[in-house]
Amino acid sequence: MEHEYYQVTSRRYFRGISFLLLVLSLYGCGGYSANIRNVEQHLVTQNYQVALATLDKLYADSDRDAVLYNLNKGMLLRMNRDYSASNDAFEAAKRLMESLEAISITEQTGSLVVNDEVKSYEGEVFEKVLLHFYKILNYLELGKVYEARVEVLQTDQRLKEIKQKLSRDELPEEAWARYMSGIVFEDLGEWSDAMIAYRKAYNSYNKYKGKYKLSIPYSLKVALLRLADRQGLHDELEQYKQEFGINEWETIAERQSKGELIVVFNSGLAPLKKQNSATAIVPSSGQLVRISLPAYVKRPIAASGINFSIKDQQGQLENVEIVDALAVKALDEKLPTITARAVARQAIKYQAAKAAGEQNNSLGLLVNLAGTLLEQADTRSWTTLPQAIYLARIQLKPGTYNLSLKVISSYDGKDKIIDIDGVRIKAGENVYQSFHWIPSNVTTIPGTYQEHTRVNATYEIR
Amino acid sequence: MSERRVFQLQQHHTKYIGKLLFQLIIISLAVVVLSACSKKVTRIDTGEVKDLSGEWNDTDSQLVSKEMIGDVLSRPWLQDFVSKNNKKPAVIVGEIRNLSHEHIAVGTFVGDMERELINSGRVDFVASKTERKDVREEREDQDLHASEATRKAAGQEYGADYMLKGTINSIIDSEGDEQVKFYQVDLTLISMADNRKAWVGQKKIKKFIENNKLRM
Repeated sequence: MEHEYYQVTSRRYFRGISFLLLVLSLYGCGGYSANIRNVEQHLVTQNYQVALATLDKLYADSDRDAVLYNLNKGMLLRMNRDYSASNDAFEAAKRLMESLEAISITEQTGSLVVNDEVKSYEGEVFEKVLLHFYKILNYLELGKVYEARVEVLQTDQRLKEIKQKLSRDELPEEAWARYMSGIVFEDLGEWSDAMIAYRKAYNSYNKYKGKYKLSIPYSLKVALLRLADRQGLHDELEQYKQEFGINEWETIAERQSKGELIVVFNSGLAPLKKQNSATAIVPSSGQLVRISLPAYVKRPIAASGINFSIKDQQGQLENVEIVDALAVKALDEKLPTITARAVARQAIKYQAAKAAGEQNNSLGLLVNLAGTLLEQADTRSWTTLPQAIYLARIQLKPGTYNLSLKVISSYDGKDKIIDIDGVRIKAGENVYQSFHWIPSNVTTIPGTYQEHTRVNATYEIR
Repeated sequence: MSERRVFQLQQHHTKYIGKLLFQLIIISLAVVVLSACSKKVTRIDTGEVKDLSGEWNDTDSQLVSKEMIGDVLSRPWLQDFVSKNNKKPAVIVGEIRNLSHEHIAVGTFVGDMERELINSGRVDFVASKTERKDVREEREDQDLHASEATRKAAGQEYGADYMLKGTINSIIDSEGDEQVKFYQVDLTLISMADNRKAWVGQKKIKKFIENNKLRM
């Protein structure tokens, strides 16, 4: 009779669980990726203050998301052109990342028992490199070239440390960070450091070719020729001349009377992680088993190209970094570990529910239910990064100019014009201008949140 | 199923859930007690050495400025200048360039050096570029508004004889969780009259930093 009673309640509980899972799947249960979309909608309308307030409300108090919060905050602040505050947030993120490099005992255990989101967000390697890049850019836009130089040295140190930890075939993507470092050194007239940085960027872009659709920017080719020429590196100069097929360039001496306008254009937003879940019932015990794994969803391409026009000069901005590809690659490399942990977690949860069930049937169900509901994929990533970064280096005689950018939109066929008036150029000095363009299609994310529920699973966990 | 049986079962239930809840409360209380340490502030002497992150700090700034200025004042150029010109040399602190890996507050370092120099009483000291700008604005203002007796004329500024310039460099060597930081501060005293270098000073600082491998 007792047995019969439990069967009835079990069925009732099971119905409850199915209902909860249904509700959960309807809500998307994306954790971070669902929350951050509330912030994104304000970025499309350029309501940065509201976006910041929303971000604060969501993550300001969360210790384990502190790195992520500061990364996003820094990015929103720089969209709002508050570069100094942006650097404060980035600096906070950088320091937190450093302290998180030590392995946490409690968090490791937590991630095995509950889910991966209980771990503090440490940041991916490409995010750490890009963090330095945005700090450099912030300092440059503030006109603090020597502070930018400090950041350039830190980037170099950071990359060294990262390389020590990685194996040879998973070296960090450093091309763009190196190229930017070269620009800063050249700005300061430190030719040999500039040459070294440009060379490292060149080597790294060469490796990009096979992996991503990104070739060596023309402006980098010219910079290599210019500096190899200046440093008297004849053999290297000849090699570059032959390889690039460029025979004419402005020498450093010729550039002295001009100034350089450096335009950095950030387009769109980085991809978002979604959660793919599979839930099954183990026939012998009636226990629910659930595995959730993260997967990236790329947003629609924001811009297919950007043209500039300034006085009588016209040209195209060059694509120097594809964040989409970096993010996907980073997750691909980590996925085996994430999967292994998810499977181990299921085994632990299964055993816990079984042990509890042996004491008391409903307690077992409760443990099983809690374990299943808590099984969430870690969908956290630095999503306010752009989808891609574009660059133009424009030589101008001293004077005041009006810069006009035309963004060739790839989603509604309507081009967007951005005008900046009163750009002041001085001889021998660089001026830095950056933009972050976020079209409304960033929030249209294809095929999100899949929930697979298999009722009669054919496999069994022993 | 009799009513009584169900009741007993439910009672059995509540007992279990109650026990579970009780355990949960105990655990969460323990967590709260452990994490709820309120902020604690202790005052320490400004001369006390306290290395926290291993980065350039107030102690480094004070150490370097004190030693450097001690050195610059004990060298022959000072005596030479005094015997030749029969007056104290006037010095100005120019740019100290931060070429290191860290965002160093160069201002406090320059301030420390200025203080050491002025308080030694052996050199005259001229206001820096930005300070001069302020003073000049005030002087222009005096020209319009101050009384004839108290007005200070323009063109009477005291020109510096020497300029102190310098750089802060760093080299970092790291392997795993260990790091050696090496700072080198170079200062040069340049004669304003003929660009001759009167004195070159150097101070090196080396630190060994070990990072934690584990955290809670």
